[in-house]
Amino acid sequence: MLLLEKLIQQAAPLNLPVIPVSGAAAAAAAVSRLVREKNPEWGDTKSVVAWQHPLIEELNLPDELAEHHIPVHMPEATPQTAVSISGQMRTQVVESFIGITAADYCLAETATLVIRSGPDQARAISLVPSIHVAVIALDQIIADLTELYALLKQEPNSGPNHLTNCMTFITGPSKTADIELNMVHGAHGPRELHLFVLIP
Amino acid sequence: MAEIRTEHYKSEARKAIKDRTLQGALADVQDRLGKGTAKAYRELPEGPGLRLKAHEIRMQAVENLDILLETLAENVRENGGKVIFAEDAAAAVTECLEIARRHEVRTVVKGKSMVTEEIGLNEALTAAGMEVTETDLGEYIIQLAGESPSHIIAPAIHKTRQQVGRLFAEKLGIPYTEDPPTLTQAARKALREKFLAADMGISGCNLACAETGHITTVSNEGNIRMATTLPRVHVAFMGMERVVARLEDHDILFRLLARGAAAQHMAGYISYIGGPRQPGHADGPDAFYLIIIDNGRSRILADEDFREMLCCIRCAACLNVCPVYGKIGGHSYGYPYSGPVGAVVTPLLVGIDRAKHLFMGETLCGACKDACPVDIDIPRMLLALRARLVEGDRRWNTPPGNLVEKSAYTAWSLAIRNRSLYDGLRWLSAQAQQLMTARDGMIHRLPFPFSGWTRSRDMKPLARKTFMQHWKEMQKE
Repeated sequence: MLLLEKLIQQAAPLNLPVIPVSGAAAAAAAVSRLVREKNPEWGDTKSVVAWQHPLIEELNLPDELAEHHIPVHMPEATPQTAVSISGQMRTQVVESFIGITAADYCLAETATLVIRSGPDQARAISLVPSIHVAVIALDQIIADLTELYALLKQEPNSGPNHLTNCMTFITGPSKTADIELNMVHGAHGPRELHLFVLIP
Repeated sequence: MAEIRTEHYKSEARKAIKDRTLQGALADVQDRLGKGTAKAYRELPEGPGLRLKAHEIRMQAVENLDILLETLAENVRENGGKVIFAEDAAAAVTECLEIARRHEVRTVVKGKSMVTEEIGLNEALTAAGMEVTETDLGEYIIQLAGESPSHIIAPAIHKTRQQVGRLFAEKLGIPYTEDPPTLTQAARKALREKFLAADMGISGCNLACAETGHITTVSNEGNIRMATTLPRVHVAFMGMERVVARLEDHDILFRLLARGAAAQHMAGYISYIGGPRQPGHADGPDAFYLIIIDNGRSRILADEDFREMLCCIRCAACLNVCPVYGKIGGHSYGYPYSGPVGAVVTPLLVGIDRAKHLFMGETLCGACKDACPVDIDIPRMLLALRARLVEGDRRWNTPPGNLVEKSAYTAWSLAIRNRSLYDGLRWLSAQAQQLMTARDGMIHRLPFPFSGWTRSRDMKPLARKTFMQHWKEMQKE
């Protein structure tokens, strides 16, 4: 819990809300409320794109949002059809205003999400939609970079390349200060990042 | 190659000093980022001394570059990427054009990269008929304006919001506004189309990791992630010194980089990229190329006096504290690298004699060394460059310096060792300066060849009595 407190404290100045939720039902309700309250940036229709991941599937969002007529895409990639699926996935990602992902770790010291690419872990879902929602479990919060690098090297199933071909650290929403040093959120990546922490 | 305009340093500097808008912008950058970085170092749990450790890590990497680069290349290839070593700017550009041709590339999106500015990549790609779009907001602004970056991490810092407003109204066809969020949103919209349509993404490399075979890219905007995730082909350019051995070496370096560059604890986005989309993975480019560029860095590595400069991670912290950069701005340096880092790197890349004004113009005050996240001794190297300029160095194609200046110093060194000659000269100067001293007691203009000294400052005349005269009088009393 100390790490969670540290995370919340570090996230505040980054414009990164960290929302602890008890159990999947509460998390589903919170995410669903967010999807309903926010407005799309590029069009009028709402759709959501999400990773196929146990933490997210547990929220049962497609059912949760069906009554509000908001589709939830959960694209799947297989070795044989990677390219064509990727084309369809691309459309879904571009059209969705919210992207929901899990993460491998979260560093409390700097409020940094660590996300590796994978068969069902599309990189674009945490990047292209206007709002990124990340869902992590409490025990995924670790202290800092030192701990992360040590863990990456010790993971049993990671093979020689424990990073995969793309590992991204995300610290807060996209931002820029290129015009007269004025801080503006939403330069190219998500304008908002919401981090839900599942408390068992 | 980027255009080299280092010869115009003095005239550009004079222009910059008179530009009141620029002076305001520079003061603002230094006031906010310079002070913020110093504070961020003080608040490090390990203290500012952590910079010394970072220096050690970088120096170790620089001294083992041959092994590290080989290991990096081997591991990137194992990850499915292609690695190309380019000896100079022309070779790097040719390789990139060849890749673009092979993949039938028509549109390119770029993340900010100093090394691609150095090799003049944009011009070459454009000349070959491709559409190249810079996607970092600052770079996008100066690309639209047809200018060059004036700061390593805030390239459009010399432009006011009004100038950006007029530029966007003209080039993007939006109603005039000077509201930074609205302007940012306009660029976001225009560039999103570019990202989604681009065939090729180009990025730089902040610090590669040899043991895992990954490059890293750092941004706050997310533009580099877009450029390296969405297009079919990703080409990364890396100066050959930008590598460390182990993953854990990144720990200290990334924390210091964020503090040095933007007084942050951590950059918004850091991506480790090891190769193309892996089989079965959801997305990412089909092809990944890493072009490792020498372009004069081997010569820097071979010279023990300047090897330390290869530790630089291009964070621009030195620009934000330099009293010279703070007055003359980035364009005066006449090459993509400005400020103290430019004053050392540029002469080493383009020629010591050709870029001599850059290191002659710095003050040796040492602020850059204190601000450097990897504690590079820039003042020492500024002096070393001055020594090379005077003494000449065949390795750097630098002839021995100005003979007139050299003989003047030889004469001076003889004069100050001869009491009566020295006293005679002093008496002469005292007489001569009486004629030049204005009513306010200061000398406003010295005659040639000393006129340069008083062009921008007054000189105080010699005291009426010398110390020796005072001393003798005191002894009598």
